[in-house]
Amino acid sequence: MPLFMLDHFWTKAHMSGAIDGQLGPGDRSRFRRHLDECESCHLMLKSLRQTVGSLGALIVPSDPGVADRVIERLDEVSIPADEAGGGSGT
Amino acid sequence: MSVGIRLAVNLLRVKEHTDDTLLERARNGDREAFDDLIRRYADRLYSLVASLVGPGHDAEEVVQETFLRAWKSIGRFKGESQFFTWLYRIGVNESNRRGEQITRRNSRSAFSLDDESGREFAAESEDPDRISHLLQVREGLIEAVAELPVDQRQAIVLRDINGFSTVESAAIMEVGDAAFKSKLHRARLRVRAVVAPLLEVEP
Repeated sequence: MPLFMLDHFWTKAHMSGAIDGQLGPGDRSRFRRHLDECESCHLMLKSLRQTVGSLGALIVPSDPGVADRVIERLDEVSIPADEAGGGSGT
Repeated sequence: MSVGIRLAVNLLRVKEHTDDTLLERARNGDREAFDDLIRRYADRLYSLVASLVGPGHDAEEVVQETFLRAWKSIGRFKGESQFFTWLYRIGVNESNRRGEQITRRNSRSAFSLDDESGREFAAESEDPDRISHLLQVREGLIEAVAELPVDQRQAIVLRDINGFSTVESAAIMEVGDAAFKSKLHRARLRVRAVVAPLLEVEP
């Protein structure tokens, strides 16, 4: 297989690593070198980066008071003495 | 004491202690210490499980069950991972236990609670066309995440939506770092494939 194609598949497989800053210096150079000569990988990285960057906005906000309701529920539930706190202190 | 003052006092008390201190006390049956851990982690746990099973009743049930299980078994927690990793792992397992069908049904609605969250997503623009486009992207993302296989959805929900690090996410899913990265990458590629036509990528 030509070197370009080997680098092409390798680059696609390492795009998440590149986005997350997880490539070592050698891999980073190989990655950049291929991007410079491959328009399709260049565009794919851009759209993958945009996709990943947009996902954070989907976080579900917490429900106010959830901690207090959990504590109330624990108060209501009768837990056997040997189970409470895992029983390590009893 | 007013609700505001009580909240402030609780927050101050929670900040005073490290997880390790609270854990040690909770392991010895100290409910107050465990309550402080609840106050510390309930909100983030809710956000996480709501991304998996949908917000509202299901998510709250999972959060309550998670803390209940954690309280019952905290004596067996050996500290081999961080407390929150262990807790969130229980939460993810509990979400799984709710069943694939419920997860699939609700995971789509998990991200589209109301128009408010959609408007926030598009808040950077006042141009109606731009807002409409951003909302379309958001819908595409929601669809794509909902259609992912469970393990890939968990990976993307942990890392990209809830912001856990790779190491934390892998620990919560109980998989190695390499396996986690592989799931995450496949998930991202699938989501990208769905939304790519909507993105404005210029050479």
